[in-house]
Amino acid sequence: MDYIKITIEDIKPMSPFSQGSTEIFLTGQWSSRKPLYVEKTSPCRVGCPVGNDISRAFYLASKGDLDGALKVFREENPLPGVCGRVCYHPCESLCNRKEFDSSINIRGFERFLADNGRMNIAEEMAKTRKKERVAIVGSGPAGLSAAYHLVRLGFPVTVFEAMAEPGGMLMYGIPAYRLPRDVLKREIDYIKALGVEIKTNTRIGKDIDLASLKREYQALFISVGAHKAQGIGVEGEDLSGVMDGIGFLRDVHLGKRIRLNRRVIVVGGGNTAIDCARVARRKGAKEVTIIYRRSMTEMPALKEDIEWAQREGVKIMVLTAPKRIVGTENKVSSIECIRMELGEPDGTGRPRPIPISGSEFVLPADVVISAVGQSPDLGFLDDSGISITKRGVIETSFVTGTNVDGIFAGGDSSGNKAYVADAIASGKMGAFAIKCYLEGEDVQKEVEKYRIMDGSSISFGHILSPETHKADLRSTVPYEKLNTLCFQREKREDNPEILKPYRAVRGFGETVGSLNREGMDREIKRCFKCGTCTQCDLCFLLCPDISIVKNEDGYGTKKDYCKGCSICATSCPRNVIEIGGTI
Amino acid sequence: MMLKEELEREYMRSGHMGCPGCGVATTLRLVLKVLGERTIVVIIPGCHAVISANYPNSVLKVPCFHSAFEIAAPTAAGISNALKIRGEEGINVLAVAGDGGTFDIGLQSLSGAADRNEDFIYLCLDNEAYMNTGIQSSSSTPEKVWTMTTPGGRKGRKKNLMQIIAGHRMPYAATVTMGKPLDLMEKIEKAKNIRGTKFIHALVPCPTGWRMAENLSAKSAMLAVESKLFPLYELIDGINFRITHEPQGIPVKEYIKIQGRYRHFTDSDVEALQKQVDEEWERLVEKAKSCI
Repeated sequence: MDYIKITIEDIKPMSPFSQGSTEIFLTGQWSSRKPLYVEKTSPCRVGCPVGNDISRAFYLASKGDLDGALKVFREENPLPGVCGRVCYHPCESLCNRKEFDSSINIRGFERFLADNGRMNIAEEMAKTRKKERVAIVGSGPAGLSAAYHLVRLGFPVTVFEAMAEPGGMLMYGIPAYRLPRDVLKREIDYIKALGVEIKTNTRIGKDIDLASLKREYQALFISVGAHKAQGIGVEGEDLSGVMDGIGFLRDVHLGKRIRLNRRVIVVGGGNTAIDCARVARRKGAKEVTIIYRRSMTEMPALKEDIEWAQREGVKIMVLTAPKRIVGTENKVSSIECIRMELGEPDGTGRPRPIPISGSEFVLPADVVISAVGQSPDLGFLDDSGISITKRGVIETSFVTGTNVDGIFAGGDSSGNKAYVADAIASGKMGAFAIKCYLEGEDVQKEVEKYRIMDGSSISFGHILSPETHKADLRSTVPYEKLNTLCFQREKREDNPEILKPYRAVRGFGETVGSLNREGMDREIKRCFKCGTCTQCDLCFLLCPDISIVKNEDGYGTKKDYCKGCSICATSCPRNVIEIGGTI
Repeated sequence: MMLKEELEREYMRSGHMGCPGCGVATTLRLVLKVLGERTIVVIIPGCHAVISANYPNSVLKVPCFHSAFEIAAPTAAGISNALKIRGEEGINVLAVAGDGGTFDIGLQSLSGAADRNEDFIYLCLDNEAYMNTGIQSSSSTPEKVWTMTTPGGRKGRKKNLMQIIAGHRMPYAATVTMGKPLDLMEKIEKAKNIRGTKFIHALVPCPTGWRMAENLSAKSAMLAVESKLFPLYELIDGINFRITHEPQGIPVKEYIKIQGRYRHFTDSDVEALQKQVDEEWERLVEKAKSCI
């Protein structure tokens, strides 16, 4: 210390003077307990059917790297702009922040990234080009997802689409006020830019037969969706004025002239029913009533969409079932309904609706739209030997394999949950199963390596770039393991309404807008980032023994001095640190 | 906010004799990180004296002077004045004392130094008893808490030292704890740039004396803050209060249930403590409201 002009010799005669270092004492020998940094899978990722690495994306966004965050979503999900708008966000129900104040607006985040982040396509192209070719039948979310992941693995992929435009239900089912078509087209263009070839107006079984596809391609993925409407199954369904929901939505998208005047009754409680009702309002119907046989809690449609429908003037009558459609001069005039009550749970786990006899009543109606379910049209598989279940869907194993070698199936046509995210998940699984099939690997064993907890999804991040994906896919972070004393309660930022209901029903403009930058930043900050090390330095700062050192990509331990107190592990806000017993 | 290099620099060495999970070591380390190389430390008897040196080896990478128990403040004042006479500028003088050396034994000399507004930082490492000599009660020990000398619980409440400090109208005083390290470092940074006597009251968890698991020491400090039991605030010129951290307001029971020294507390004791904490907090909020 040359700035103090006293030498040790000046002091020595006066008092004893320590000049040595305590580093000669290896206090690490006091204990064999040492910290280990183990990144874990966040509960939101466990809840996400697609398996998006949400906490990692939030971490990158918190460092200002929005493009990197979008890249994280795109590692798992080819359609973040779609999911960011229409997903049923099970991630948010598992969000740990829910226990603290309220869940993070994860869907809004995904949408924000998809709309504002940029991808470098050249960087995303597969480095190797493999020779085995894969054909995909159907370009809905499952087919697009399979194609996207296969092309990223290096396989040449061709997608066959019967309709004029790719997208399946995303294009022909979901109305534009929930999913603007330019967003969908942008995402499909991105998939095409990666090298996926999409042949539209090509129906398998009509334009090309399945056998020739099998000859030309080494593997097939069938994801034709469920576009055949199921009937209500009551008298009077053949009357003029009765239409099926999915056909109605398709016709509206195709721009067919549809003018609904007065009273419309929609039968059903799923997303299709809600969409039909809201579209009916937009097509001029004065009075729209949804009748659903169970209660509000059992309605499969998204809560926020049900609320929107109600605010747009749609009436919802629950515990009501149609009994007969009544017509005059072969035209619908009314619908006879019956009241229901809820009984014991049925096979689906929901309470069984039981008619209350004598409670019949009549609702006047000009149009009846049935939206009680769809099934796949699998006529083209008749001679293929592929086995079909009793429910009329393709029979598949957990890893999407059918009983025929080299043919895989996913999405609605193999009876998956009818949500976009689940379809994407089955496409992902299909892509991975096809890779394993073509490369002669044991798919069951490989899947277990990359499977996220016990869920239906796998981590493509771990498959494609193992060097940057170190999180343990087999352990997650329960709320109790977080150190929430490091956080402060803050309000959740919801996506803003950009159209009032009375304006919304005049057209097909998006009703809910994107978060602005400030709101997004607050959500990014609010996210706990469970299981992801954000290099917050808390462990480093709190160590009493100066035994944690900062590295380029995280922290290390000075094992010679660490006394094993475990302050770091107990204080870590995100449960990244574990205590191991090795020296 | 500190620069990355400033954050990473260390003025303490590993290998010290602090217990596992020692709060004194962490607190002293964080303070020195901010004060930097040009610092002279005055140490008086206490755990920090044992930690900072085992003759002939030193933990600190800065000059350190061991003084007598009751004179941390005047020793620091003397060094500060000597530096002034020699024309040295920009050297921080830090007096470090425990709660025994501040609340009890060094109070009058601290008062004198503060009265003269000598230029140094006084850091009180308050672990709420004489831990170094074997957990004897000090006037900082909270009411009804177990120590070796108060086996049935201490009579009388913890001395409100910050009120005494306020009476001296020091240019800067603050409460800090290792549980909120960034808040601590910001306050030291402020104190560093103010001339005159600066007082830092640090609540320092002591796993040994508080009878708790060593891994909980940082967490207990966080709990003390978030339960409003130990509010973090600044006190400018002895009159202006500013609360620097808004606590979550979790029940004080969460803080005391992890510590063995509170083990004999009955439900009504906990309730009474909660009431005290809430009242103190309200009082502080009122004071802070009237300040700019």
